[in-house]
Amino acid sequence: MDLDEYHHPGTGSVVPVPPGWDRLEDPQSGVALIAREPDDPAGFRANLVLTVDDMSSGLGLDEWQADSDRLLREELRNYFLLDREVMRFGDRPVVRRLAHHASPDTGPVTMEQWAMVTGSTGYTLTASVATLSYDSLADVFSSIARRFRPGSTGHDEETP
Amino acid sequence: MTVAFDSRTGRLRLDQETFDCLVAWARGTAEPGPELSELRDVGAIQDGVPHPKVWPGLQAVTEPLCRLQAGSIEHNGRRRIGDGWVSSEAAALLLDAPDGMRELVTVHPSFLPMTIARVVRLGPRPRGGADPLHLPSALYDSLFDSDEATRRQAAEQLSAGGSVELPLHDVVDRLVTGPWRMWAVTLTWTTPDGQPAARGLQVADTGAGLCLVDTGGQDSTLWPTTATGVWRRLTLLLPDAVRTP
Repeated sequence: MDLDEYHHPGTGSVVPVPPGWDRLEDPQSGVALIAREPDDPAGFRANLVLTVDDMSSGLGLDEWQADSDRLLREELRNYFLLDREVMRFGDRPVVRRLAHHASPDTGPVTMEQWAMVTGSTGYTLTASVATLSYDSLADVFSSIARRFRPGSTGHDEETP
Repeated sequence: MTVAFDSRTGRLRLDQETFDCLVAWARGTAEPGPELSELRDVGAIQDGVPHPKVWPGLQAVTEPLCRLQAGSIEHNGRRRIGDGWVSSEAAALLLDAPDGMRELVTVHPSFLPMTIARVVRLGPRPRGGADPLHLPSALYDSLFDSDEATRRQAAEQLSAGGSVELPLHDVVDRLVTGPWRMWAVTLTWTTPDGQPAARGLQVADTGAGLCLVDTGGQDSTLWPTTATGVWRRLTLLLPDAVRTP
């Protein structure tokens, strides 16, 4: 699938987005972008969310993501961690997780997430899709994550 | 025998005879069996109809679009089996419980991948390697034997004389020592033009990595994979008639 490149003005990040997906820029504090597939009356709309965290307190990727693991367990209904790994995009370490959650509003959802730190900013790219449609978008999500470029935000690059 | 019913989740714990009685009753059999009274006592049957949490699953059992068969074996020889029935509205799974009883679980079909993942305890594992391990089926059987000495002998045969490091050597080591679990799920159905169809997967789960298992033919193959790879296959198991009713 060809992907459009969305440039987020506030962070300088570049987010590849499937063509035709709706985009909401800076919808709330800490959320740089929400991109959603066009309306699908049949069910959950696959989406992509870029969140940005201030890491100036010195929190590293491992501690930050350990906190994220705990928060996800606490906040998402019927949360179940399926996979988790530390991988590298170039020189940058990335935590990838695959999880399942479900609520009466959403039905069963598969969530894939990539988290990385650049300078004093933590970026989390979260892709979600109705579980039975996961396989059809898994490679697209993976391609989005690999082509994502976090902004430099004017801070020093993290030493890997 | 004690039947237990959780009206909040719809989980029904019962033995096979009581399950057979429940299904016979749902099919309208005149005298389904003496177990019916206990099903009434626990509330699985109320006022002559199945409890609302049980009814969709019973409909799937009596009028399935596809059947599910599952099984697992562990390093110590412990075996568990599961049966399932799937309609466009519900998936009913009858699973072995540890005490010799069975547990009937009803979920929406879209929850079937998650239900299977929970039952088999799918989760993060290290990647066991990049290359598949091909081995004669007789050796494969020994490698998954319930006796550790037999497994060790098979592993030694595998690595004997090889100058190249054995693919999946950490997985093979773990198969010898345990713990591990091999599990398989197969869905079968009949296509609209009357042809039999099936989808399934077989997975070897060790602490050192996950492998998809292919046992067709004279040779067997362990293909290294990840929990993500297994999850992708689980989300594809259902036939199209259930995925998009």
